[in-house]
Amino acid sequence: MKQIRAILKREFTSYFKSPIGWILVAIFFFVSSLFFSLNFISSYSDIASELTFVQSLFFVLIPIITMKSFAEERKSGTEVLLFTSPASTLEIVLGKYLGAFCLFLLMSSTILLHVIFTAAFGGVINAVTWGTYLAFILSGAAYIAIGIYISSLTENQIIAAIVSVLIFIGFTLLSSIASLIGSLVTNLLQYLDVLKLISSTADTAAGTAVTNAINWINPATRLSDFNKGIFGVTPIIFLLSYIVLFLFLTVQYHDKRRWAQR
Amino acid sequence: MTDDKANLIPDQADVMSKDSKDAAEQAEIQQDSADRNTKAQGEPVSQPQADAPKAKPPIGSKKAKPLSAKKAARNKKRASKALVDRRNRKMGRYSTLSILLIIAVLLAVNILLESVVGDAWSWDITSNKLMTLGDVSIQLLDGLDQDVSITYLGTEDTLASSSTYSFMPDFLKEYAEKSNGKVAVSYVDPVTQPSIYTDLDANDVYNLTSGEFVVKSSETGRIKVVTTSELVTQEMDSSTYSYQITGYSAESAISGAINYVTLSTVPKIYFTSGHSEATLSDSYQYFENLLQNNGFETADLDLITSDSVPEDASAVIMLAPKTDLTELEAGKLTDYVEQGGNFMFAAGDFSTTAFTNVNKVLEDFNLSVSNDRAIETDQSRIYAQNNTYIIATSPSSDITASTYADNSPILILDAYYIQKLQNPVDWITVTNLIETSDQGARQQGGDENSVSASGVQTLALMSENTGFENGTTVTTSSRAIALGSASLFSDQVISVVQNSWYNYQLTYNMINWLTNNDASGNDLLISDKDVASYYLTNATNTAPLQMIAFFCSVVIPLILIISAIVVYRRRQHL
Repeated sequence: MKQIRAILKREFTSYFKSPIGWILVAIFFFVSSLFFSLNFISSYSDIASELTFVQSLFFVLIPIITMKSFAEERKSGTEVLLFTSPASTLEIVLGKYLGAFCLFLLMSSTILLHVIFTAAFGGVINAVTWGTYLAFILSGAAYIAIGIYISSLTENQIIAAIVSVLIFIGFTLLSSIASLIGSLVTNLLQYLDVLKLISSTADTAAGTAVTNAINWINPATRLSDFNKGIFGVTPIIFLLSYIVLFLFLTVQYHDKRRWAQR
Repeated sequence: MTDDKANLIPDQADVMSKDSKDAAEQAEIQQDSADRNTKAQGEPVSQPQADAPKAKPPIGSKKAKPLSAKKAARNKKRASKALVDRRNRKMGRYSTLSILLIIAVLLAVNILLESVVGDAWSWDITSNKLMTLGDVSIQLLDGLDQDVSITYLGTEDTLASSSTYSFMPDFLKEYAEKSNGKVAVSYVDPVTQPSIYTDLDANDVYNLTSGEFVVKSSETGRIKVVTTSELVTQEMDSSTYSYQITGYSAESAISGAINYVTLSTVPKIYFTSGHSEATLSDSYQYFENLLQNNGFETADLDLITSDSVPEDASAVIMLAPKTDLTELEAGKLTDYVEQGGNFMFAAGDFSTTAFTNVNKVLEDFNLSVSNDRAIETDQSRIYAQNNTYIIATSPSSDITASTYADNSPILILDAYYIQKLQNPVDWITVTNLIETSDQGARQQGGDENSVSASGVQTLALMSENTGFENGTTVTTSSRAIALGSASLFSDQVISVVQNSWYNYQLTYNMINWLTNNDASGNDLLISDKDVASYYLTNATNTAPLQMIAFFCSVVIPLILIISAIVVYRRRQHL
């Protein structure tokens, strides 16, 4: 725990010892405030919509947060120092993850200022607002875990960022791809079923099942319920699973590198 | 990199001991690493070439090592490398296995949770419970005895990503989940599966198009098409000239469609034409939806060209006519009501037109549409400072008994005074339906200067005649309603009063009573769900709002950017 805290502190402060942390927070706050202000001056404020809008910045901001975490260490050669330290691989990964996550939390907390102003002027701050806020933070946490894993695979920060961006965009497109694959399955079944042994309803059901299965693994789809006003425990568990999985993959990858001989 | 490996040696040994490797193996690894370190410091690295022919030592060279020693060293290196490879492979296998294991565990946990708790651990947190079915719908689903399919002609993704209708997939899921398997929801994209049109509507009666919901009963084969425009109620915002959602009517539309397709017989209401009547789609869309959602079919009736009122008519409604019936038409209507038919006259805006022949039909019910305009003199009972815009009430009656809260307001505009004829007989029961306060009055003949004395004025009456005889036998009863103004359920009024006033509920009750639908058990009045308003209620002055907007979008980001520049410059001078 002590090691995690030390690494977390080092990671978090490193963002603000360079301009990157300040700029990230500035961009985030500027974009969210722009959305907020344009409505606010018309006596209107919907924080849930604002959060949904700002979530589109994840594609750019989260890769920038995570790209340096392992890639930079590897490039500068400080990775060896880190892995020969008394900290275990898990502690190192957790420390770095939490460092990035704390920066994200700091960014997200700036929206609380909008919440306060909205409440002060009699705007609606209800369960949907807080549900969307939770979904926003959880999805950020999951995306950071993915970004950290990608960063550990390469020593080039730019490549890490680009791959992360592509993956995050992939999540967005996955639901469309899922529909396409589902339709392909339906059409394929209908094409192969020359003797008409299967009803068209069953063909459609099979296609729908494939679509649902692909959508099921897509964090972007799973979170949409929160934005609509449905608070579910299963999407939260699902996102936590994503975080666990990608942190585990990162630990495994570094363990393998740490102990492997050539 | 060589140094790295040297650094790793103690850890490797540690791991080896953990893995219960013997000391000899550890020594070999250390020796191997040491050998490689030595090579890295100057000795050329050469790979052992097992297949190369053995070369003889050159003449004059120093005495070569004995062949067996070289071979032994090579074998030792090979063994060491093989050991390392084995360890790497083993670690790789362990890593892959553990990754697969954690994926399996996480998948199992998630699938288990989804299947065991599913939606039980999810809650509709919207303020208007947008995705939750109300009691009326649940009661309808509980009573379903046939399979119903709801097919959206499009992809679920399209619907879910729509800004207005994104709630629909979850909402439809509620129907599937709460119907004990009777309702099946599916999404079929006609682009990829064009056969869906003929699958659902073989004769192309409904002219189905993409983006519609098709509700179909397997037993009756009846179809009801619900368009997306029926899922919400919208109004034009006069300031922006854009449509704004004023309510969500998805539940009444879908439940109404289920109710309609599962009905054994569908009541049909005929609307008279030929007297400049208002049309439902013109300014009575709320009323039209109310009828549709409650399983009524509607049709036009031209009494001049028709020999008589069709037998399948549950009721005939004359909606806001501008002219009177002809005698011939009145005769046909009288024949109809005397054989058990039901009739409603809903007057339009007040005019001086006399409805003499309409009154001949209503005479059988002791009702009469007067030539007087009703007004209200109690200033607290008028709307928009207009004494013809009356905030009326409904006295207790069969219609209002269970649903009317005392003094629930009813807004009615520019209404005729409806008169009860003084012909008291046992078989005609007339009941006041809508009335003014005791400070109501009548403008006689519509003349503002000729106002009657104050008193309760009736704006709508309902009547039941149980005395129609066929020869000598009383055959059946007939019902009639005379409504002083159809504004009771006009779009103009309903859009203002919404569900909070009694207009909508009263209209629903009136229609059910008129068509004897109250006995069928198909009570299905589902109010629209309100739209959450995100407007600031305490913002009386825009100046502080503008200051806050400036502070948030300019001042704070600027401070952060200046901080970034300061940090950057400091780093440059390090």
